[in-house]
This record gives sequence, structure tokens and C-alpha cells, in this order.
Amino acid sequence: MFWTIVRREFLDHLVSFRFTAVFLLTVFLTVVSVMVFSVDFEQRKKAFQREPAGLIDASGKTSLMMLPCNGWGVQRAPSQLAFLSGGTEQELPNRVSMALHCIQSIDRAPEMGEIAGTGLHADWAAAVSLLLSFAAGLLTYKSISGESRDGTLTLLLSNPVSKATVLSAKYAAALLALTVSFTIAVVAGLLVLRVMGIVDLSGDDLIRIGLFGVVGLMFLSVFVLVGLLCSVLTRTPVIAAVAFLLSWTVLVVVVPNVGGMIAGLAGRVQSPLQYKEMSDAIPSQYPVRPGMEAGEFASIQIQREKAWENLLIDYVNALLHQVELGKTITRLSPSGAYVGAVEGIAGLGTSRFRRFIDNAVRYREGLFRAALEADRGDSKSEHRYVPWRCGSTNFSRETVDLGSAKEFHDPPPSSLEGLATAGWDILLLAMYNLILFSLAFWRFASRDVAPTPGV
Amino acid sequence: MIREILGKELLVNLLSLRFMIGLVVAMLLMGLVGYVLMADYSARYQTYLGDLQRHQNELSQTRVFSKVQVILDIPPSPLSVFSRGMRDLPSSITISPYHIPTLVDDAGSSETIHLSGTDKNPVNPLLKVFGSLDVCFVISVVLSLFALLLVFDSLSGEREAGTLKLVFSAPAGRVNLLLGKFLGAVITMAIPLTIGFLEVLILFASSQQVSLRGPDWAGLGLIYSFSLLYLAGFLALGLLVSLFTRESSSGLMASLLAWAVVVIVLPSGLGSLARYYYPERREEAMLEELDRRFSDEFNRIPYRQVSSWNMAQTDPHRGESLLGITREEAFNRSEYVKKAFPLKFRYAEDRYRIAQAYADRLATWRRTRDNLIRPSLSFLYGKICSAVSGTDLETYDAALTRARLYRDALQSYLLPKVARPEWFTRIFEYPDMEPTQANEQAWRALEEKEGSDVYLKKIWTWSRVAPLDLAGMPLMQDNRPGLWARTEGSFWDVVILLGMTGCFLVLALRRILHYPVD
Amino acid sequence: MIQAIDLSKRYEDGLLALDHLNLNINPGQIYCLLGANGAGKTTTINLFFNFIEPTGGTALLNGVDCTKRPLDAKRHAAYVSENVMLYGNFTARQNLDFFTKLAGRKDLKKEEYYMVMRQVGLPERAFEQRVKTFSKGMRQKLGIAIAMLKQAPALLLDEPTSGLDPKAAAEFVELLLTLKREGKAILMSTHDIFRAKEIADVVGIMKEGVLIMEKSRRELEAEDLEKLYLKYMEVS
Repeated sequence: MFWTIVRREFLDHLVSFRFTAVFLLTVFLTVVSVMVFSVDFEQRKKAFQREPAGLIDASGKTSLMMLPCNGWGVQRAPSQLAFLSGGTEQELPNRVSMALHCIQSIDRAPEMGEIAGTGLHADWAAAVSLLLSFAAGLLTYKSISGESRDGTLTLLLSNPVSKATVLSAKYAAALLALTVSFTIAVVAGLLVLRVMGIVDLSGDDLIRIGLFGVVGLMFLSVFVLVGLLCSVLTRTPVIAAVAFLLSWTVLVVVVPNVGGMIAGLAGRVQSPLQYKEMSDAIPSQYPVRPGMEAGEFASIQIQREKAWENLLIDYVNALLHQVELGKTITRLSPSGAYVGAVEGIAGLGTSRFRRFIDNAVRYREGLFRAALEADRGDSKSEHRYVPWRCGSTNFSRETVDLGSAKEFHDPPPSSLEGLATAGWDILLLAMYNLILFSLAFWRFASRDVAPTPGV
Repeated sequence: MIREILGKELLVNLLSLRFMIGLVVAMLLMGLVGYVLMADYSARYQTYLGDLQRHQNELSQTRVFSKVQVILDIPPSPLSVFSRGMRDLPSSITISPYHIPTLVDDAGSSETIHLSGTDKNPVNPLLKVFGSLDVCFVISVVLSLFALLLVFDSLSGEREAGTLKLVFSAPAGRVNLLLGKFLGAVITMAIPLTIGFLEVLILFASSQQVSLRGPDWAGLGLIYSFSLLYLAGFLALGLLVSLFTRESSSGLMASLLAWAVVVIVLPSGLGSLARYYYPERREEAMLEELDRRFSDEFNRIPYRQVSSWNMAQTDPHRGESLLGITREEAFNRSEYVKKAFPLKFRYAEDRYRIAQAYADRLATWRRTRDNLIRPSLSFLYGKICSAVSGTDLETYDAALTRARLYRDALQSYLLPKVARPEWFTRIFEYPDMEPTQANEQAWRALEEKEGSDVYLKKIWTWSRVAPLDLAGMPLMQDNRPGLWARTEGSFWDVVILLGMTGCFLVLALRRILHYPVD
Repeated sequence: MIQAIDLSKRYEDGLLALDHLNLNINPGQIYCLLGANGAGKTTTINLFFNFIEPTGGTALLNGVDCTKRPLDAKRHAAYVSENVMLYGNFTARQNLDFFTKLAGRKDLKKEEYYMVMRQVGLPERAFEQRVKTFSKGMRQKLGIAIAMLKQAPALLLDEPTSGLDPKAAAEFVELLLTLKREGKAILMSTHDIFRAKEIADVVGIMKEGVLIMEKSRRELEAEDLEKLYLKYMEVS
């Protein structure tokens, strides 16, 4: 009986013109976003490979003498899965400039496209959270209110089938229709990606895309339930449609965009003046006395540089914290939870960025240790590393190979780690589902199927 | 006749639940957005004032002509509350003899994220991940939805209720009915729009830092008018859809679909598609080639440094150094300067030509892409708003053009100074070295090492040298194009917006003449 | 078979739609419930199918309490509403198939559906036509077909002939008589005094939620039902 109802509903959805229209639009967006992504990715890859080493010369060796006054940068490798959710990949910094003794800055140069962009990220998460969520409502807003008005609901319920069965069947049919269209859109996108040949997805990537699909379905399920709830709570399809429209606007359009604004309202973490004050205070925390022994002088300088680095990292962390606060506010809507989950699974987002910074700091420290090691091996050196002073006998004048320390390791998180990062968001989505499920069932069960007479 | 219909429509609309909800939502949003953007504008304005001061100080402290650079700060537009514009646009243009500014400069962008100790940005640049909301966004996305909500069942609802037969039988006529409904809806939509604008105005008035001048008020009025026009377009679209659907509720969904296509799919999808045909940056190779050529030429300029400038240090901790040059050195150096700097100027021009060629190609691409997306009402509206607010790319481009003209004036002022020593050094104004014992000792040690005939013995006191007298230097006035110049560029967009609204209305009028009454 | 014992329904706004209704309809009986709009006829039928819940009394279908065991009770009765609406995008046969499966009968063949549709008088060409093109009469017939295929011992109809032209109404009541002969207990609410007199075994008149009169066929033969109806309606 359940499957009878599901089958009928599903067929009804498939022939609905409006649903087909939304489905086609989704496929269009999916394919286009993949095409654009390939072009962007190619450019990013080129920029990534072009990053000059600065550290090592043609033979892979480093001049120890020049280390104290040289600088170079490490980059975060562009992600292959940024077509799933482009926001953080395109907006967060991806390069750390450093000297051997401290991190100097964390940057992002604007990609050329940004000067000419339209401002809307076309990525798969957007296609799902904007178009398919709307489709979910399209399928369900008439489900109960329409049948109630039409009279098919009473005929339905005059049979030995419970309200729970009816509601679950409608839910399942809508979700099934959405699953089918979502899958087709994803497959179409992946095919285009393959045909363009620029991005080569690994097995792990495919697992991630699968997880993206699952999370997407959880998200769409929320909107199916919102549509059903609107349908159950209202008397006519018109009111149901209006109710769904209002909910959708608030959940999909307003809340995600307002989150950042509210987080920004919480004020800037440190004003530039405060930062400057703290930065200027550091030399007095690590004072230099006149007539200080050279070795002590050098170590004080190193400590100062490290203190500046810590200041910078703390500052960046505070900035990130504000961003994450904004994201948390957007979680008031299932959209926010969904995007958070996608970012976690795809290995994008602020956690990835944090990891990148950590790796950069670790890399620098490792490099420093290796340089000091190498210097110790040189008997002619005075074994004094003075930041920004090159070319004297303080440090070794040799040119050595620093070994494995000179390679920057910044692997993207594995799909399992991604799943763990997304864990809370997935739980949140499940909770939304549960709450809406219960609400819809409870309301439908307690609602009279037949209207009050005299109305 | 129309007046009666108008009156009834207005009454029905204003009393409806959806109007109240829409009004509340619109007011809340506009208030919130207005408040945040006002704070953002204030912060940016403060930064601008600070930068202005700082740059003026730096300029007045310049000590050699070769280092003269004028940084033109672009004041943020108060109307950016309405249309924030692109966030990557630089907030200042650097004018120097060695660089001609173009649109494709990598450096100088205020929103290039550069997190370091010297960051002066008052706003968290990482918040860019959230996408920016401005008042025009609220209008183009939320108020347009609200407009559709208002009219989607205008006709199909009356038909379902059975009142349509009654209405059509009245002598008012179908055309009058439609026009009455349309005008009634427009007036209804004007209410939340006006209240929203008033909210923003109140915010403006209560803020100490923001003061609106004449052109700003005119701009505000223009944005209001265009917003109303935009909403009228959506109302016409909604009425049209209402005339073609059987049931009211499917009318709403169809309108929403149309909305989704216009507001989301067209700009995002077609815009992205156009991105696919983004002009390749071939100039990279050409620029590298140019750099190589320039390096070669530069290195070929003969300059044999006979002796170093900073020769003796008596006290490393106090930082006072002794300076000396030989006659030969002085001659070599000035000859070098006479050859090197014109080379640098030429380099700037060659570089400019290549970069500008790319910028022109980008401009063409942008125009094509914009034309692709033009059918989208919301895109048109967004363009008009950012043009009037002075926050779009075209305004910045115009500012660049004026900056370049100014640079020409600056060049003609600076070039004659290349031949003078103040171009690159002020050493001749340093105080002479005092003949103390320590100093004489240091000199003798130096002479032993270098073995040359030093004729200038000075104390290195860069900071005590007076800054340049820049009295004759040309100054740059406000380099932003005026309101009319900006609006002029949007003339065709307004025409298209009007045209589309008219089209929808005409189609609706034709349809209503054949509209089935039951 | 169809029993109401002191069945009452008071709505939240205070409206007393049904006041201690007592009914007893046996198999092979047609009971016609007459009354003005809002008298409580539809409410009665809705209570049997648990579309609304009673505030007092019991409704029983074949001995099963409709409120305590609704799913079980619904197996014993079929429903035809005042204006049968079906799934417009589906054909007559598809609608029939769907509702029959819901009633619990699977594996019926196309021929059996065609047979029933013929029996109710639907034209052949309509069998595979979309229901949204049907006239009201055709839809009512399809409604009866659905009820017939359910093969339930009771049949509850809510003003089934309202809006039908005389010919369609006559065909409809013929079907009812066939079903009565098969031994079904039939409860039918109606305005149509003429038809009621024609086919009812028992006639009940409701006014403002109360069953004010109940007469059997024999009792009615002597009287003019119309005059009776109007007379009782006047009593306020």
C-alpha cells in the first residue's frame, strides 16, 4: 500500500512540467559550473606551479649565508573538488610568505576573474541549495493541501491506510524524484568534467562526491519536509505555496547572506591601531641592552621575530573565528549546515585553511632546525643566526642541501577526515529532518481531514 | 473607472497578510543591511581620511625627486550603502614616474588579502566568503519575490473565487481592470520601498561621519525611481504569469520559477558560461620578455662604483655614519642617472601598452558577457544601481583615465628635474664631518683600504635634511566622474528595463482580452 | 452493519454539528438521510470514516469501532463523496487501479476494471482517458466503480446525485439498487427527495444535528414526503 502510493506520486512528479523545468535548470547550472571550474583550476594550477622556490637554487641547494635575509612563499594546492562549493577556495588566502625566522604575511592575490565577476558563486552546492530546494517545495506544497481541497485525500483515507503511511509515501516519492534528478545532474557534471580532461578525479575524490550526494539528499529531505509541513498546516494550496515561499526565502536567501553581516557587526577583532600597539610593544618585551654579547643579541632578535609571528597567527585566528561565527549563525538554516557539511567533506573551508597555516608554521620551524643543523656542521661558522643580517661570519657560508625539510607537506584531508569535520553539520541536518518529520506527522495526525462545516 | 479599481486593489493589498509579512521582512532586512553597510562605509571613510592624511605626510616628507609618488585616494561613495559594488576595487591609485596605472595591475587592490602586521583594513577581509548584501540586493531579490507574491493570484484568484465574472461584466472593461490592478500593485510596492529608503535616510542622518551632498541626494532619488521601475517590471511579469496559469498556486510556482531564472540562473549560469571564454592572459609572456629586455639594457649602462657611499662607521649603536665620495664617483653616478631613469620611464610606457591591451580585451569580454545576461531584470537593475552609486567598474576605469592624465602633468613637472642632483641625492646638503680624533682615525683607515682621493666628507644625516619644496607640483582634483556622467552610461539599461516592463504589460493586455472567465 | 450510538460532534468553536445520533442500517437496506445544508449529514459520514473524531457516542461499521480501530473499520465500508475528484493526470483505469490496490485488492486484471467501468455505464472511450476531461456524471460513476471494486459490505455516499442531470441520476440510483440487492448496507445523504422516496428503505430527516424524523418505506407510502419534509423544516 505504501509502495502503491509512492508509485503514483512519483509518476505524478515525473510528468510535472515545472519540475522538469527546474531539473533542467539544475543540470544546466551543474554543467556550467564544472566547465568554469575546469578553466579556473587550470589557471590556479599554473599559478601554483609557477611559485618560485626562492629557497633553493637550480641544483636543489640552499645558501645558508643568505637565509637570514631571504624570503619565499608556500602555497596551498588548489583543490580539485572546489566545484562542489567554491566559496572558501576562492576567497580565503592561499599563500604564506615567510622568512626562515618568522611568517611575514598570509595572502591571496585576486584572480583575474574576480575583477570581472558577477558575484554569484556557481557551484554545485548553490545549484542544490537554491534550485533543488525550490524543486522540493514544488513537489510537495500541494501534497496535502491540494488533495484536501480536491477531495482525493478523503477518498484516500476512506481506505485502510494510515495517515502515517500516506505522509511517508508522499515524502518518499518526492525524495525519490529529487534523487533521480540530482543523480542525473551529478553524473552529467562528472561526464563533462571527464570530457574536458583538466581535472582528474581520484577514487577518494569520487567517494567524496558520493558523500556530497548523500548530504545533498539529507538537505533536500529537509525541504521536502518543509513543503509537506506547509501543505499540512494550511487549508489551500495557495496558502501552502505562499507559506513555502516565505520559508524558502528566509532559509535559503536571507539567513545564509545575513550570517556574515551579523558576524561582522560583532566588530573587528583588533583594530589596526591595537595591532600596531601590540606589535610595537614587542621590542620592549625582549629588550636589547647596549654592550650585549653577540650571541645573546641574536637570540633576542629570534625571540622577537617569533613573537611577531605569534601575533600574526593569533590575529589570523581571530579573523577566522569571526568567519566561523558567521557560519555558525547561518546554521540556523539547513542551508548553512549543508554548506558546512559540503565544505568539510570536500576538504575546503576554514578548517582546511587553519591546517594550511599550521603546516606552514611547522614547515618553517622544520626548515629552521635543518638550517641550524647544517650550520653546526660548519666549523668556520660562528653559529649565530641573526635575523635580517646576511653575509658575515655569523652564520655558515656554505651551500647545502637541506634534505626533506625543504619540501612543504600540505596534504588535503582524506575523505574520512572530511567526514569527521562535517560530522556536526551532518548531525544538525539529521536533527532538522527529525524535527520537521515529527512536526509534520504530529500535525497531520491530529488534523481533521474534512473541513469544518459552515466554512 | 480606473480610480475605483485602483482604490479597491490598494485596499485589498494593504489588508492582506502577505503584505504585512512582506513589509515586516523588508523593513527588518533593509534596516539591518543599511545599518551594517553604514558602519562599513564609516569605517572605510575613516580609513580613507587616514590614508589621505598619511599620504600627504609621506609626500611632504619626500626628500628626493626620484621618489616622488602621488597616491590618489578614492573616497568611498556614500551611496555604496545601496550598491556596494565590487569589493576588489582598489581604494587608491598610485601615480609615479615608473608605472602607468591600468585596470589589470596586480598590486594596490585594497581587498587583495594581505594579512601581515601592517594590515590597515578595518574590516575582516575573510568575511568575503559570505558574499555581500546591500540595499539593492535586498530590493532585487527579496522585494521582487514579495512583488510576485502580491500579484500571482491577482486574476486567477478572482477567477477561482468566482468574482471575475462579476468584475468583467462591469463596464470598466478588461483593459482598465488590468491597468488598475497593475497600478494598485505598484503603489502597494512603493510603500515598503519608501519605508526602507526612509530607514536608510534616518541612518544617514544619525551618523556623524556621513554627510550627503547635492549629487548624493540626486543619486538617491534616481536609485529610488529605478527601484520602483524594477519592481514594476516584476509586477508586470507576475500579472502575466497569473494570466497564463490555471490555478493560483501553480501561478505562484511558475512566477517563482521565472524569478529563479531571472535572478539566479541567468546571472550565475550565463555569467559563468561567459567566464569560460575569458580572454587568456597572453600578456604574461610579453611582460616577461619586456622585463628581460629592460634588465639587459639596464645592466648595459656603464656604472663602475668606484667607492662605496657609506664608508666609515664610528659608532654602530648610535648609527651615525660618515660619508664620502670621490669626484669620479660623483661623475659616474650622475651620468648613470641620466641614462637609467629615462630608461625606466620608457619601460613604464612599454609596460603600459601591453597591460592596457589586455585591459581592452577584458573590457570587450565584459561587454559581451553583460549583453548575454542583459535579459535578466535583476542584473540590469544591479548595473544601474552600481553605476549611479559610483561603485561599478566603469567609474573606477574613468578614475584611472583621469589619473593617467594627471600623471602626464606630473611627468612634465618632474622630467626637467632629472638633470639636477636633487633628483637622486641630497648629499651635498649634509653637514660636513667634524674633524674629531675618532673621525680622522676612521677616515685614515678607510683611505688605507680604498686608497682613493675623497673630496666630500660628510655626516650621514638623512633625517635632518629638509624635505623637498613641492610648491610647483600639479595637484589632482577629485577624479571621480559626476553623477550625470555615470547615469548616462546606464541610459540604455534603463530603456531596456522600461521596454521589458512595457512588453510584459502589453502581453498581459492582449491575454486578458481572451482570458477565459471560468 | 452501519451503526451510530448516541453519536455527537461539537466543534472547537462551540458549534454542535451532531447531537446524539442513533442509526442502525442493516445489510440490504438503503437509508437516505435528508436535511438542509449544514444539518449534519456530511458530518455523520465523516465520523464513520474517522475524517473527524466524535466528541460523544460511538460509530460502528460491521461491529468495529470507527474511532478506536479506524484502519480496521475502513475495510468494511466504501466511500463516495459529493463531488468525486480523482487524480486528473491519470486515466480512469489508472485511478481505479490505484484505489483498488489501496483497498487491499491486488492483481486485478485490466479486463476486470473494464468490466466494472462498463457496469457503471462509462463509455468505452473513457476508460483510458485522463480523468480531468470527465464530466461530473462520469466522475460520479467512476466513484461508484471504485466503491464497487472495494467489495466492502457497507457503502456511504455523500450527496452523490447533486449536480447530475436526470438521466445520469437515474442511472446512478439503478446501480445503487443493484448493490442493495447484492446485500450491501447503504447510507446516502441527499437533497433529492424524489430519488429518496424512490429507493430508500428508511428515510431520516436531520435538522441542526438532530435526527428529528425517521420513517420506513411502508410508513412513507401513505404520505407526501415533500410536504412532510417542509413541515418538519418549519418546526424551529
